[in-house]
Formats: sequence, C-alpha cells, structure tokens
Amino acid sequence: MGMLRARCDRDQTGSGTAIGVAIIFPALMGVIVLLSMLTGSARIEQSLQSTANRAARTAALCCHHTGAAEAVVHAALDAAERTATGNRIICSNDLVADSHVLFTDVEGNAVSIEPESVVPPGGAVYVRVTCQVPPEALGGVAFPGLDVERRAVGVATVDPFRARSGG
Amino acid sequence: MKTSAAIRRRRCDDARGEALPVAILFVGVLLTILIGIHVLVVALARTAVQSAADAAVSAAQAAPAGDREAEGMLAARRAIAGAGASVGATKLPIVTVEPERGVVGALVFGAVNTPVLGTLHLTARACAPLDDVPAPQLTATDAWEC
Repeated sequence: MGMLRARCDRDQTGSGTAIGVAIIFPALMGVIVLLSMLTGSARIEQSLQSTANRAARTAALCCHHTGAAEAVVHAALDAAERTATGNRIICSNDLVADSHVLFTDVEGNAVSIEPESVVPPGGAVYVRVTCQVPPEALGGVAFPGLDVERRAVGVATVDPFRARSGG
Repeated sequence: MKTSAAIRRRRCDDARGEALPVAILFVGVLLTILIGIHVLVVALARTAVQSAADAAVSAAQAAPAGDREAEGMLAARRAIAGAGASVGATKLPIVTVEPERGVVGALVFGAVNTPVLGTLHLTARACAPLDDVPAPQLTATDAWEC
C-alpha cells in the first residue's frame, strides 16, 4: 500500500512538470523571436554604421567645398538605399532626406554647407543617418505598431594636407 | 462499491498518461533552446564576416595603387582570424579593384558550426570608391555600388 502511494505520487509529479513546461515553451518561442529581431536590427545598424563611416571619410577627402562634399554623402546614401538587398539597409524612410551632414572646424564650431564654403582643414565631418526599420525586416515577424529607429553617426577628420580633386 | 485502493489505482493510471506529453514538451523545449543558440551563433558569424569585408575595403581604399588587392586580402584574413571564436575562414577573400569605375569591392567567405543545421557557409560583400577617384565621379551612385 505504501509502495503504491509512493509510485502514485511519483507519477503525479508529471502533471506539474507538464504545466511548467507548457508555460516555459511559449516563453522560449518568444525569446527566439526576440533574438531574431535583435540580431536583424544589429545587422542593419552595422550596415548603417559602415555606410555612415564610408560616406564621412570620402566627404572629408574629396572636395574643396562643403556643398560638394554633402552631395557626395547624399550619393553614398542613395546608393546604399538602392542596394538594400545586398547590404541589409532596409529602411521605410528616405535615407538621404533624413540624414544630416555637419562640418566643424578645429575649434568645434559648425561650418555652413554652401557651394562656396571651404571645407575646414583639420576639422571634422559628421554624417548622421537615421533608418526607420520596417517590422518585416526584423526576424520576419511583423508586429503591428512596432516602430524601430536605428541611428548611426560616421565621423572623419578633414586632412589639411590632402590634394583634393574637385568641388 | 469501489474500494479506496481501486480509486487510487485508477488515479495513478490516469497520471501515467502524462509521460508522453511531458516527453514531447521536453524535446520541444530542448529544440527551442538549440534554435535560440543557432540564431545567436549565426548572427555573430554574419556580423564578423561583414566586419571583415568592411575592413578589407577600408584597407584597400587607403592602400597605394599596386597594393590594393593584397592589403585588402590581408585585412580580411586578419579580421576573420581575429573573430575565430565566431567564424572560420573557408576560402581566401576576394578583393577586386575596378579602376575605370573607381570602385574597390571585397568578398569574404566564412563558415560556422550551428547546433541545428550543422556547418553554415556565409558570404559578405562590401564596396566603396577608391580614395583617388575624382570628386565629380563620386556624386554618381555608380561609384558606390558593387
């Protein structure tokens, strides 16, 4: 009789385990979806960062004037947006319109961006890129109302001794 | 009139029926954990391979005209070797310079062992204009595409 009760108790512990596992299982599924979304977001941010860095570096090296350098940055962002399947920059906003280019001189003061405004030697170029990531791009799960915005800032120093080819 | 022992035995028989669902759920949880690890491992490897491609392009951009491919390949191999915990190199990276377009491109290959799908091969690509490209050419998107 005692043995039967002991066996019975042991079998009934399975009920609690089943309920516990049934609760944990959906939570783990949620963790997978979350991981997938986070990694997707991280990849897009990585691509954004490298695009911003590359655009800033080229803008710092290419031109005599800030207006021409800004046009180079816009071309870089436009190309990044067009080749979205290759570089994972999938944004629902206009990357060029929502970007911001800033030139500063050696003292950190902003330099205006105009066709005749000279690129400040020894200063820096900041390219800030903002991407509104569509929910479908994050792990393939389209949660309604999920609004993810990723930002990247690329910085490059303006080399005062470099020969510039245009602008 | 059933005895209390018979009722208890009946209850015990019912409870034993839960062994199969528990086993299924247990396997499900294990599989879920493995998929989670897979997602993380693949994401880390992709990030590492893409970083290697970016490093190759940056090195090739700044290198002198004759050394661009070699410098790019070296940078990519060192980046992949540095990320050895996340990804392994499978083939030599390819760095191509297109002087007429003024573009340098890098293609980096890697592989990672995942707990769900075994060995997964990854490829990353990056492109950028060369440093000595004339400024008017840089305002065209062609100079920025692979």
